[in-house]
Amino acid sequence: MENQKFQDDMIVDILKKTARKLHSNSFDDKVMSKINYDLKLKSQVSKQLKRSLFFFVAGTILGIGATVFFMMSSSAILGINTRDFGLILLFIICVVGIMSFDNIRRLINTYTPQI
Amino acid sequence: MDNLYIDKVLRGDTEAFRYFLKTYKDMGYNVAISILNDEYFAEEVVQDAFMKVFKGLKSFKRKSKFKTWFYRIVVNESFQRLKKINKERELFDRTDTDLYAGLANNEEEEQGNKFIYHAMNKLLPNERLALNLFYLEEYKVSEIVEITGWSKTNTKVILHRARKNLHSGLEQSKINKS
Repeated sequence: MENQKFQDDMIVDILKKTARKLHSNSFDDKVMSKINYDLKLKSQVSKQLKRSLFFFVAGTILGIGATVFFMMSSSAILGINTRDFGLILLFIICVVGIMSFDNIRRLINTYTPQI
Repeated sequence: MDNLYIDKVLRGDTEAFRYFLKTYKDMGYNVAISILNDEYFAEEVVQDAFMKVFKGLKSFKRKSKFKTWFYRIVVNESFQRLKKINKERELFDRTDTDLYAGLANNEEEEQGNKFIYHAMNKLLPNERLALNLFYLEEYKVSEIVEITGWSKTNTKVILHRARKNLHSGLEQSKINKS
């Protein structure tokens, strides 16, 4: 028992001798400036995110509306069947929508703490 | 005290965060360096850990102590960084640095303690971490489990192996010295 205590004390002594301290004086300031930069960036990103979401929703509604309109219309536009026109439009909306969605996902990921 | 400053930061007083930097930076650095074996990387990891703490302060449930939560972040960050460093070492064949070189205050002390530093350097990162948390920070095994995510049995095994390896390292260094 005493031997164990001696060994434990010795380990504590060794660990105290080998304990390290941060030598950098500017450590606190570095972290604080990072935090302040982060806060500034966060407000900018939140503006971007709101704008991006607005365009995504507005674009989707407009796109779906236009596609339905073209699909239901029977007359030809510039010699192209409106149904074909609607399909092309739907394809473009899908591509733009996926890109826009990916952009939003990236913006959200940047500011989600991962612990 | 910690809770008071957490509330201050959450209310928008960013400067109140300096309290955590002052109180925990050295402890965090000590934990990080025991895993990483590199001063530069350890400082970077502690910086990243503090950034994560700041960003995640809202989600801190206060079920555990702030210190335990902070250590858990430092430990996770350190092991993630260690993985990256090991990959780089495999690629570029970087040699290990002597973690405890130049730690003594004078040459006489350095000579006297050299075998201690050598024995500490020989330990595995998780062994150094376990010893630090158990003996220096005086954490119980259950708290070490919470910080590291190891199982209780595994923690006990690592601690036992760390003690054994430290002793045999010290013996070996003494033999080499004489």
